[in-house]
Amino acid sequence: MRATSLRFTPSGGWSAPLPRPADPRRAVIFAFCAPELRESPGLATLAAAAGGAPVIGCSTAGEICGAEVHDNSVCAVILELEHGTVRAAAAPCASAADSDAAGAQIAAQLREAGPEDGPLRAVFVLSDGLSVNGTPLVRALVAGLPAGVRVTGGLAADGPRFGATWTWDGRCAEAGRVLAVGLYGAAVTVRTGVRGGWDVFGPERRISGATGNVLHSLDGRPALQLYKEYLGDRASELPASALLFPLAVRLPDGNRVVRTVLGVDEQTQSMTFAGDIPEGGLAQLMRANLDRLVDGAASAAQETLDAGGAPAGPTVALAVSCVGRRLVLGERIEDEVEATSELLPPGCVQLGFYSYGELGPRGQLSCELHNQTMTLTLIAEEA
Amino acid sequence: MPHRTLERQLKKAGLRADALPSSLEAWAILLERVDRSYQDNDSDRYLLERSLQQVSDEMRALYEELRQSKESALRQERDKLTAIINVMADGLATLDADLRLLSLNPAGRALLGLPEGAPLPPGLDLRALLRPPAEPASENSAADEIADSLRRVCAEGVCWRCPDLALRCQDGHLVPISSAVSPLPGGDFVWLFHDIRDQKAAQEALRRGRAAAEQHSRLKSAFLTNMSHEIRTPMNAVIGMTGLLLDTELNAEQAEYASIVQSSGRHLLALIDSVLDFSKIEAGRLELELRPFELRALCDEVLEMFAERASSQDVELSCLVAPELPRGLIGDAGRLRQLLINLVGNALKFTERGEVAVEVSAAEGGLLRFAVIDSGEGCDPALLPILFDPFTQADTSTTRRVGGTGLGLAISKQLAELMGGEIGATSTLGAGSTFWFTARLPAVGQAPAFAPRHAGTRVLIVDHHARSRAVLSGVLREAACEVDSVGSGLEAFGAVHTSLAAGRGYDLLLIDADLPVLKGAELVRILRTDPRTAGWGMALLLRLGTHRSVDPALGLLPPLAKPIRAEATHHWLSRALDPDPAAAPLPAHPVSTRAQQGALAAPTLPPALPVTATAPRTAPDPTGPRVLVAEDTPVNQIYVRRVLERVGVPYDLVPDGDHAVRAFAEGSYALILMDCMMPVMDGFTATRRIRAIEQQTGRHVPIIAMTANAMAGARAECLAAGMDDYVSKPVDAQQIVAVLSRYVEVGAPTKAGPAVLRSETLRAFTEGLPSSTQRRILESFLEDATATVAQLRAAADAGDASAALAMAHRLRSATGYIGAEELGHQAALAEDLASRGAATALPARCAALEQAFHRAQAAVEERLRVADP
Repeated sequence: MRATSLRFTPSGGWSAPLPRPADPRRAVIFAFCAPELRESPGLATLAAAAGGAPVIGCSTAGEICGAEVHDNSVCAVILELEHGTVRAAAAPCASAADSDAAGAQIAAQLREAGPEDGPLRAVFVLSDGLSVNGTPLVRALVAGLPAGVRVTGGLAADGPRFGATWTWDGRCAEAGRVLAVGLYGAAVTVRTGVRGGWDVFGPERRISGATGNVLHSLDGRPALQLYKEYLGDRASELPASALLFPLAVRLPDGNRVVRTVLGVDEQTQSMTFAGDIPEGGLAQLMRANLDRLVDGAASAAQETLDAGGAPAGPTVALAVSCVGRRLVLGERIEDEVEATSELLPPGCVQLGFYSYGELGPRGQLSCELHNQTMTLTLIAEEA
Repeated sequence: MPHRTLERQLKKAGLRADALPSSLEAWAILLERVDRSYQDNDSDRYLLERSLQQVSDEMRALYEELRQSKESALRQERDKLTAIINVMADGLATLDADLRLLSLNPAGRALLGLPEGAPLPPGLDLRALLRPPAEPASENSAADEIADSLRRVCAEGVCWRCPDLALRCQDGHLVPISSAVSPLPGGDFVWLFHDIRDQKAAQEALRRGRAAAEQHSRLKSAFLTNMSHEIRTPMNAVIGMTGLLLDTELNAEQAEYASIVQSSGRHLLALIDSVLDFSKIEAGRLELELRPFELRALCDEVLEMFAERASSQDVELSCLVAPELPRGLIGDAGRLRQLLINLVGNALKFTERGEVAVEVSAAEGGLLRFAVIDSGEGCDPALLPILFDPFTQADTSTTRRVGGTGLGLAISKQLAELMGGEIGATSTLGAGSTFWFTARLPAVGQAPAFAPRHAGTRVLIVDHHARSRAVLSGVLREAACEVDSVGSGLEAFGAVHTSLAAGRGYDLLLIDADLPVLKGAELVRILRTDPRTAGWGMALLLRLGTHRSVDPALGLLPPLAKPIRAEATHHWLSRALDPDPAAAPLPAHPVSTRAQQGALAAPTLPPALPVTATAPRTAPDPTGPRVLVAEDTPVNQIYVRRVLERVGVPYDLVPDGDHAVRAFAEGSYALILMDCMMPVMDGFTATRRIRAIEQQTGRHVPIIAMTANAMAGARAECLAAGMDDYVSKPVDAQQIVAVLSRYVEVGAPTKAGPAVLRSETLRAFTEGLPSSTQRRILESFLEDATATVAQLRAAADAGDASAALAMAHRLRSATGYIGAEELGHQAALAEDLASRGAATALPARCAALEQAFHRAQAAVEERLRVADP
């Protein structure tokens, strides 16, 4: 396996000449792009260099490149497998209601592997960050794939604005779409780590009104009103400032997931979250402790290694972190990417973005939508 | 070393911590980043503080909500409890640790007479409120008890409940209450009290009701007693006079009418007895008279009583007493007999043909079980439980068909329960019934078993009735016979051949006369023609009261009467199984009559003095013993007089007790017949006076009570007054003679009185025997009799009626064979006396018996001397 990481800035262009993949069927290009660079020539150059290999990218709330976090740039990695093959898949998803159909479509496309492909080992998904409900998307996707396939990915972002997000397949950047690549072949090794680092506080509240991923009320009070009381002056920064208080939701099965706000509706005093909010369940506000967020990121890196130590040979770490973390960490945002890169194997190429939602398996569970986490996908090829 | 963030900010601005900024632009970038850090910090701090404030506010609000809801729940709970306490009908008060009232509910205030809503009088103390129940006699000690209890309540914090106390109300009057004081957590007490005036009133009403009912029952009982007396006295006259009338010369039509009067009178009397019995039992006034008696003899008596009737109905009657049961028992033989008579009589009523069997066996718990089993029409099992209710019969048509008062089974039930047992019945419609009862009848003494005198005698019973076969086999085995039994003539041939083939044969064949198919007589005839069996002893089993002409050529032994009765059978055996039957054959009786059967088969009865309807009148013997009769009723006077005249006993008659005492003092009487209820002085008082006089003379004249008083304890009352015996009115001639003969030598109504030693009997018994054997028989008789008489005397002197009974019985049995009639007669009298438990009269009876024995002894010795030159 060979991995080449590159960075594009409007002022400096691509950081190195773009290599052309030797075998397009065995290569894939990951690209994470600042929203304002949607039409930049950097993307066009990269698409041309792909030479027919699958391209998968999206808009971000910050680009992760090595141990640094940048804005207004494009980060890309050209990954060439030695033994395995790569296939791309895409499905439209104009509204949250289409999410599970999209998941099922992606799964169906990836199942149709050719005779030259080995077994499907892993799927990396990038989805529109505002029109998609990540929960049914992932559920349908996992349900459609063979057992044991690692599914990771993230939801596209629009900085802290929650305005417009898009995915890029090398041809066009489009809203309302889900993209995925499947990695095939017995040699492909994928490990994951998902960690948060937030603390719950205040009373546990009954979710008294919710539909899908829209929360209406907690303990009979309008949800937006509660948030505004906690935010005070910073209520004017909604919906972004709501990221400061993610919601810990206790699922009927007893597990707890973290949900972040995607949007607010002043008229109905409701809030839209990145995943389902189960009515009748319990919810509790969360708050950040800076050190604990950084520790959480480090734990995610450690988790990728716990399964069997560092893989031999070149590795790529795709980092998907939550926009909420960036908002809280502010000037200290690079603390968390430094923490992960210090733990990853030497020579490992770390690349990724700040998202509106992370996809990955937590513990023994299959892939789920997360919020407010650092989600790492470690890819290697072992003979 | 600068802060890590500053270090990164320097790096992003392209500056170094240890060098001056390279450009103003880089410096501006650094400043902007540092400024942003401060801004972030402020913002974080703002949010943190705000969050803290918000959470704190929310928590406070939640706490307040929680507190209010809890308080409201508590208030609701308290209001509910208060409402309950206020609507309670019972008084409820809380008391402090020293039992002073803290609060009192409205019901309690009303009871105490305190106005509602007003404060409680200060220092109102439970001790001042509780008083003993209104029973003045025990007030002081009861008040102490209350004080003690309250002290313990205070000191130990225990509960104290008292169902019967009085509450002292504010106006001073007392109200009966039940009260409970219990400790509360925290040292206070709760006092609950309930007004029990209504309960007390109900109890009092009940008590009064019961007293009234008891009084009513006593009056009813007394009324019945009087009625009984009133009815029995004229009935006595009716029955007695009809009897006398029947003794006169009447034509056939007159005799028939008189008989009907007599039997109707007896029936009426039986009816009155039933009603009386029932009412006595119901009033709990029937007492059992416990005396020793012989179980088997009693059963035999009952069987005998029904033998003729059963026979006329073609019903086979039998009684099987389990061999392991004791012979002598203690119990009320009269009542037991009554029970058996009721059940056997009932069974016969409802059994048109087939059999009625009595079975006596041991039941659990030391009880005896008497079962009367019939093959009659049976009854619907659903009706069984009500059969034992008074005035109930299975259906009313039954009453019309078979008669009866409907009291028999109710009385039986009461009697069985009185005897410590129970009664019951099982039945299948159309397939017969079993009526049973149990009774507690303890064994007494060691009555002699029948000596196994016929060991090894081989007997074959041929009888169609399985139960009769079983009964007879049992009796014969008691006598150590070897018994086979078969059910038909054909089977009999089989048994005979089997036995012959085994080289044994039979000594005796007992053949039912009424065998189906091959009749008894035919079977005998056939067997007589076979040389191997011709010489065997054979006898027919013949139902009492049946007549059968039998060819004398058949050479039959006298018939054995059915129903089989143990003792009668033993006697029959003794006579039938002569040591050498060929040498001294018993006269073959071609005809069996009731009288002959009775004489042979019922030796347990005292030899009946033949006072019969045709007995010749005997002139009083002026030198013989004199009888004093005290009787006030003219009709009875006439009756008793006639009877005494007929048996030739001289008598004097007085009209009351006072005259009787005077006559006794002046004259010399062998016996006094004393009516109990007489004007001037009753029989009891007269008897006590006479006994007092006798204290000085040392004599003892037997006094026999005559009374119509059939109520409980009459016998005991008579004996307590010093009387020796008792006859119940209406007394019949037989009864008077029987009792007289027990105490005095009455004139022999027939020419042939009991012989000292009747030669004919002795000859019949010993004829043909070698003289040495004859001699041995007489010697052993003397030996045995001497010992028995001595033992009888000892028992009589010791007042041991049961031992005396056994000895007298033994003596009487022995005298029968050798013809010592006089001694046998005396033994029978003694036996009868002993069986009635008249222990006080026994020594006198013994004296007469001993004299008879000496005469018999002399006669036997004389005979031995003559026979042995």
